[in-house]
Amino acid sequence: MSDKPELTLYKTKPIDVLPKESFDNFKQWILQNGLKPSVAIHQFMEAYDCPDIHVTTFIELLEFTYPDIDLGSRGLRFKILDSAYPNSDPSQFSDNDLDESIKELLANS
Amino acid sequence: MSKEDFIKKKLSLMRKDQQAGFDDFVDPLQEMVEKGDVNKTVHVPKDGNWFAMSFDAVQVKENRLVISAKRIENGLISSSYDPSIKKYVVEFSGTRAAYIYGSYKSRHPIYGWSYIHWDVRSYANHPANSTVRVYVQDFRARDEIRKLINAMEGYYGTSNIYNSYINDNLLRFQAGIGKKKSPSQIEKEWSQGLMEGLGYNYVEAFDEGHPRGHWRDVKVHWCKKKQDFGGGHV
Repeated sequence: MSDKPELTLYKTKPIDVLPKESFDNFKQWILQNGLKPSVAIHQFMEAYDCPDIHVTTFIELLEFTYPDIDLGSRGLRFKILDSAYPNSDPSQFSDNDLDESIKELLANS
Repeated sequence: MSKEDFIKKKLSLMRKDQQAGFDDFVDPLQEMVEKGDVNKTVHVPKDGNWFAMSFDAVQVKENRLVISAKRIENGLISSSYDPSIKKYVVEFSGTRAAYIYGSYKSRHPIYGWSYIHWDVRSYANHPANSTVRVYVQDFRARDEIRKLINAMEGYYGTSNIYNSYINDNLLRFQAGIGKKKSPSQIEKEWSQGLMEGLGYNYVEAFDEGHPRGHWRDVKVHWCKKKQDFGGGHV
């Protein structure tokens, strides 16, 4: 039996508290600077020192950035929540999965 | 029965079961019994990404495993940037085999009403044996949904629920359509009085997949007032 902690991938974290401007910045990075959502969230985690950002915070960031798309469509919100993205196992849900799903929802909105 | 005897009995049952998945737990548990260290958490190396467990966490029941885990979130929580916005979260430490996340929207883009929605997982398939389900003790989806609705409705005062279906719920819904049942019939059978008991007597479903008719992307709307119906399939 290993003594090493084995719960790295699905670690649960407290809900984050972040400044309001952090949300404005995330939105700006995507809509004005043209970053892909996956790139923006990794930049966000570094900028606001939240490497274990809670998955519901990420959902809030997406809803704030894209108020007109329904993240529930095609099961996207569930996939994000279920995998605990952005700290997910990429084989379950990857950066590319996120970017492609958002692109698809935008094209159909 | 002493805790140690209880554990020995449980181990004996697990050995008799000889089910893939459960077999993995027996050796580390046996090691703990031999050391007399019954309170130590066992990490099961093969499946450690999913859960840690202690002796008293294990229940083997037919083809399911029930683990105990501490609730680290259990109700209404303020949004990360605006304390007036609430979300509803139930999460456990160390496992994502069960959770519920609820949220509120102030306006449906087409129908105009405010609504709550949720995403829930009530079990996980065992990573080493997909026929074994892993449940978290004391997490029953219906109870958690009831608590979520009461809490969110109490805070926001909305009387509409609008959920996107995926996985088991989607398959259940599609199976009902395949049997020529109406969406309302399918959902009321699922509800078994849960939603009606909370005042949600009306239900409709929207087929938002393309092409229509295959129910590949399903939204289900429960409401207290019939006038809130949005033109879905009743």
